[in-house]
Amino acid sequence: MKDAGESSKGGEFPVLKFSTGGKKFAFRLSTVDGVFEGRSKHSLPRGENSALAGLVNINGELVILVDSAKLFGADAKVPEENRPLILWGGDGKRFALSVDSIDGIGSVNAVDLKGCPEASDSETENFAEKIFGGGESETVSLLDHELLNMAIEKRHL
Amino acid sequence: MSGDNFMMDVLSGEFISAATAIEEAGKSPVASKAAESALRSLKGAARMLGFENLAKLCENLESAFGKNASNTAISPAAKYIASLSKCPKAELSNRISSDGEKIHGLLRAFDKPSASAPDPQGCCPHEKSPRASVSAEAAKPENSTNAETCRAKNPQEAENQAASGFGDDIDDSMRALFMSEFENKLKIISSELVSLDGDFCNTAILDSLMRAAHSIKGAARAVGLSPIVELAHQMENCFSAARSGKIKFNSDSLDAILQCSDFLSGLLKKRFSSVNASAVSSLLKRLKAVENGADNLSEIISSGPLTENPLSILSEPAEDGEDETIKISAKIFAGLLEKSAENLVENRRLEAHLREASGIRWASVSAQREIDAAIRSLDGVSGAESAARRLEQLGASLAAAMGGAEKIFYEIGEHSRRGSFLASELYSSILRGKMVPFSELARSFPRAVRDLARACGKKIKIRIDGGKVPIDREMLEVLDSPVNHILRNSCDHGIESPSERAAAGKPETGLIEISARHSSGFFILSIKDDGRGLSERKIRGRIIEKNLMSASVVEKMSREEIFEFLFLPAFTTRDTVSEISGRGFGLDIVRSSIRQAGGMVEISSEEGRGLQLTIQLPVSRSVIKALEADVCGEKYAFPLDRVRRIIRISRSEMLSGEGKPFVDFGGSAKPVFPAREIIPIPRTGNKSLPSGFANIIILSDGPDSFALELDSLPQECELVVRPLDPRLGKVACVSAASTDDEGYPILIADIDDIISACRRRILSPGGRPDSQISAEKPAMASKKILVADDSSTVRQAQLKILRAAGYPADTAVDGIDAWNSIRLGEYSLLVSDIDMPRLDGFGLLEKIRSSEKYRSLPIIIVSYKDRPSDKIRARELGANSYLSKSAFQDGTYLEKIQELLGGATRDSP
Repeated sequence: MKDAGESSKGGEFPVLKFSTGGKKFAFRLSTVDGVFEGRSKHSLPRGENSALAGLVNINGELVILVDSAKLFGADAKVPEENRPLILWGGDGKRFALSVDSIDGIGSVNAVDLKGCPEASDSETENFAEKIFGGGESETVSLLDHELLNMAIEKRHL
Repeated sequence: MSGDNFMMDVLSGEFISAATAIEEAGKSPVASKAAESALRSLKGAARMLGFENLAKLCENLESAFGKNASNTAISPAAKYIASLSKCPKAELSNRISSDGEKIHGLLRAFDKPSASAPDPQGCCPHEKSPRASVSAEAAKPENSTNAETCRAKNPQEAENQAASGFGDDIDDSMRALFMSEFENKLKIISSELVSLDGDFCNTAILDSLMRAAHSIKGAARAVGLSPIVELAHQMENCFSAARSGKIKFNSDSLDAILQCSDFLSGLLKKRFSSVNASAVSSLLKRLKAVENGADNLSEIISSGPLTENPLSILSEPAEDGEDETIKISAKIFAGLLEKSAENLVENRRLEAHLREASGIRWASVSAQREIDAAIRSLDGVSGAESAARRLEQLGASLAAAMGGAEKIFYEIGEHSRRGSFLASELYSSILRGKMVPFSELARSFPRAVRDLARACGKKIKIRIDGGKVPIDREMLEVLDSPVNHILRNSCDHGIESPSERAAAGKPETGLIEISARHSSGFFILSIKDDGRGLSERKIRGRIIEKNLMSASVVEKMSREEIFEFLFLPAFTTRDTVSEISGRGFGLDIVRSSIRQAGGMVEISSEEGRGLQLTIQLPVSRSVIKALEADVCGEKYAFPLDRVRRIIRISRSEMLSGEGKPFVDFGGSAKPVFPAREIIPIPRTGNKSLPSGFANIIILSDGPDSFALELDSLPQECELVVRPLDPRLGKVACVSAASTDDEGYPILIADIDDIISACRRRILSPGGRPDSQISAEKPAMASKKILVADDSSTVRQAQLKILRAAGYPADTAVDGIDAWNSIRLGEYSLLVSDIDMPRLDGFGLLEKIRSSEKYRSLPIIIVSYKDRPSDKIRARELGANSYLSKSAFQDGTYLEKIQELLGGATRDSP
């Protein structure tokens, strides 16, 4: 196990929860700019194994679309055209992440965060900073915003 | 201790950066942070070279900027840093070494209790910039003999720096206002002076010049810029003397005043950050000579370089009666454009819903008729009265409901039409916001030609038509350099000297004609001179001489083909090179600049009669005309300026050769390349090419052309160009993106990329289609190292050492960045500093050593503090090695790396 539990920074913070490839993830809500469905997309001439899915029109802005299933090394459970998008990243670093489903907004207390287990599945990338929730089916990985951004830029762009 | 040349170069650069950052520090908290960061880098560099006290001084300054805004020790320390930034690199090491006492004194000032008292000179980094006092102090001779030694080679340098900048009480908005007014008046002076040339007694122009100089003088006085006041006053005196007839201007007088104007323009570009007092003094002498009508004016004005490049003036102020302008950031403007385009799309969607509403209306009318028919059918049926009444009530209710709905549909329709109209107007207005008249660039041409003509000893006049023709500002900027180059060529070796022209029966004064117009959605600029033109014979001879083509081939080439060689780099027919032109590097750059902007250049000439260059550019980079078509089910747009023809041809009529399709174009068979194979599109969801007819566009590349088959018949469209996200880098075969009327993304094809891909297919016919060539990474043969340090200097220094030894290396700016990089990359070794923001070296070491996956990564800790406790802690946490600053100098650094890693490649022991 990685370092189990950090000293609490105090208080609750909101998160946006979503699922991809049968696993549950969350973003700190402060890093999310919106959730969208049914947007027009266009692929980009790139390598087929890349998680870079193309460009998507979100309110007039052409945003880089990233397939979260390919990014996390999982199999998408929902057809491409039905996958909702999370617009995430902040000014100048935004991506639209296509996911299987949006599981709502929740609140997490810093004291409930636990350290992440080392990834045992070599195909599943572990971009989580912490996990929360209880039980195998409810464990949610709180994604490390900076690491994810770096991974996308270094590996897929 | 002296460092090697590279490190001293780095240190010198760090001094300059730190001095600049300190100057700016007082303007905002962000600027103060930048100063802290620059000082931190300088500290690291100083430590690496063993200048400990200097490093300590930087640390104290960094801390003072961050914490104590009123530290009196800041100013002298900042001044010292500024003085070192001016010291020649070769003397820097000795200077620092011999300034030991001085640095000690500066350090002691930070330790004094009074260091936190308010600085009487007002050098609080967050409240006021110490810049003014630093600059002023820098002008005074220093007490240290070493400083004198350092400045021995430039004894006048410090004295030449006058107190710079605006008055102390002038805030940012006042400065901005002054600079805007200054720029406007200065441009008036510059353009009016050119107009005065040849018409020296024109009183209207002289009045205009006097007013402009007077305005500058008043404005400069208001903001405390005394040198500008003096110069403007002297200019005003010159104009007044000429106006009153006391003196008569000539070309030399104008040259002197233009020099002053150019100098002031240079100050404006530097935002009046510093004023060279000796330059001001020299200019005042020249202007005085003009005012007094001195005879030796030409000697005086050629006595020293003072002027800025007169060809660099781009924009001109708005004339009286023209609209005022405001500045808006390009990012905000791009956002406005995007949102207005989206607004237009949304409004059009409303129209689609309204059409559906019409369907509902007709359905209800139909239902009403059915009800009426049912009522009629119940007429006379016994016992059906109740049913008939109910049906009548139903009919009445439906009619009432439809009546209400009609009204709403009507109002929604009205709103939709008005909304669409307004959305369309908004969109067009925003697009027009980017457009400027061609005269914004053209105004600078008369001055440029005048100066060039005088430099060449020729007489040349210029005529400009189409100044009001609008063009995208970005396109105008593209034209600036090429057009100035063309003018230079015309003046230097196009137009003959007066005697040559007279001998040829031409007027003494040569003529350059520039005309601008729109045609078919393009901006066409023609630049024509009546000079000697191009010698076809000479060009053919030069082609043969340079072995570019054989004589027999050259003989058969047409004039247009011969002229194409002029666009080759370093191709010139000139035997000599002048200061102005002749090296042969101009026209190729002209063409490539124009082509990059989506345009083209053509040349035509007749020997003895002149030369004409025609430039064609899209009117706006924002909007292009293109052909839109499907490729693999998605939309692509092909810029129209590169499309020669559209061909729709039955597949049975296409030619065939070696199993590949060809199409006849211009009498030659062109191989047809399917776009879906040329553009590396992901293969998911591929549909086959439509049978029956092939939709082909012929793409042009100079005299060559290429046939590209699309999946659908292309349709002409006008698209707003959206640059791709810069994080994507260069996307193969794609130059930009756009959206169609319904908001679907469209990729705009990069025609040059596509043509290159077609050429590759021709040269390697057996090769796989580009879309099937996967990006294979070369095998990682080398052992990659990650360097984590918050000092950019230290990072760069280590990168240099490692790469010279054959180790590929990456850098991280702090512990978190390093931890993320380790998790994402494959590194064989980490070299980390201790003191880093967000996560220090020890925290990083702990993270790595407690990680199952990365715990065995070799780690070297490098520390400049060299404390025994740090060494112990590093060992305890699991560092493989601990090095101090001297390791960079004595070779230990590289030895340790080689010890831990072996050689640079995986095969090395």
